[in-house]
Amino acid sequence: MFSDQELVKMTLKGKKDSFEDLVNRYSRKVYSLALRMLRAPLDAEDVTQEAFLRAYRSLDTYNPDYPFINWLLKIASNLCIDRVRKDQNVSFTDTDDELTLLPQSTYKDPETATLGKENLTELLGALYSLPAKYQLIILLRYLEGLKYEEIATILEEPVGTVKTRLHRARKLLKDRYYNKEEGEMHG
Amino acid sequence: MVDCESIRSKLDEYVDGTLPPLEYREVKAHLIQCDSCNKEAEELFLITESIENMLVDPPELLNKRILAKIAQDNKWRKRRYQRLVKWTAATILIAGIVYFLPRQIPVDTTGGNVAIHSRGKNVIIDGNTLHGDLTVVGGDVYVEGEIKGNVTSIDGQVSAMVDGEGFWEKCLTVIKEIWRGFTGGDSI
Ligand SMILES: [Zn+2]
Repeated sequence: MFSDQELVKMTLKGKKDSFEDLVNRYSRKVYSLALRMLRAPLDAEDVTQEAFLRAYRSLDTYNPDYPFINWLLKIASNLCIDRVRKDQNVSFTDTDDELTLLPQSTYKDPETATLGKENLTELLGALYSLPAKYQLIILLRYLEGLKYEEIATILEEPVGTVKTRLHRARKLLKDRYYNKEEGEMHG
Repeated sequence: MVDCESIRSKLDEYVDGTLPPLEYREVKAHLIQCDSCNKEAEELFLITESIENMLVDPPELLNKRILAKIAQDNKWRKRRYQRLVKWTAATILIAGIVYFLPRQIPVDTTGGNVAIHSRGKNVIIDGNTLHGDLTVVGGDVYVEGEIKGNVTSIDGQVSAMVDGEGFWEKCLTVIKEIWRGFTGGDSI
């Protein structure tokens, strides 16, 4: 089993199969981030493809001191944010519209889920209602399991900013999720 | 007794598992006694753990599609590279031709002696015959025709077009030679 860094080196030396290993290793993480940011499975596929292609093209600029997946997620994050911004001009003006765009059929009901499928859908709805940069930081922290310092590197922000933003994002997410639930109970 | 507010400010890092051990124990001890902070922490745990479980498997063929796209990109890049080499070669050639091209100054061959200040340009005496002397200041002289008198070039050189090969034929031979070197046998 080669390390990511070894696979990158081998790819740069012209061994094509090495990059294939990296794709197999990380497409799940990249795709999941893209799907949770963009909601539409086709968009998520697009961004995943593009992220790997860009990584491949600029592989010689990758700094092996950092984990490969973090570099890949940085590329993917930027692509997602770009796309969200573009889409915002076209649609997503109404929060109700966003809920209809949930990828309900595409997410797997995890066995270990602490929330039922219905609640998970609502949590996703709450997540999607957040500003894109809040969504991204939540996903980088919890979906991808990155440390504050790693997120700071990806977002090119100080660790303090990451902590503050993460705190706000989490609070907003929690409020929206639980308020929605309460609202439904009352109405 | 620690107050709820200071505990709340540490809940994020408590949930994230990044609190130092001492503070971690402090928060944990508070949560056992305080229902409202405990509820807050549980909500946070529930949300963050749920998001952790939102990883999804990509569509089955996605990896193959990614690799196909990269392979395509490779081919395209190779072709683009080859095109780039050809265009570069062509550009260098044209620049070379323009640079070495004797910028011709018309010489009136009907009179007797001719003196020209060529201002850096080269002077070509083509097929005609010049009956008198030719004096050129500041440029090379290519003699393709016939000069009965003396040829003098001040600050320049005098070259004769020998072997009946004209200037353009010579250029073309050189161009073909360079092109072969660049493209490895391709013709223009
Ligand atoms: Zn309390």
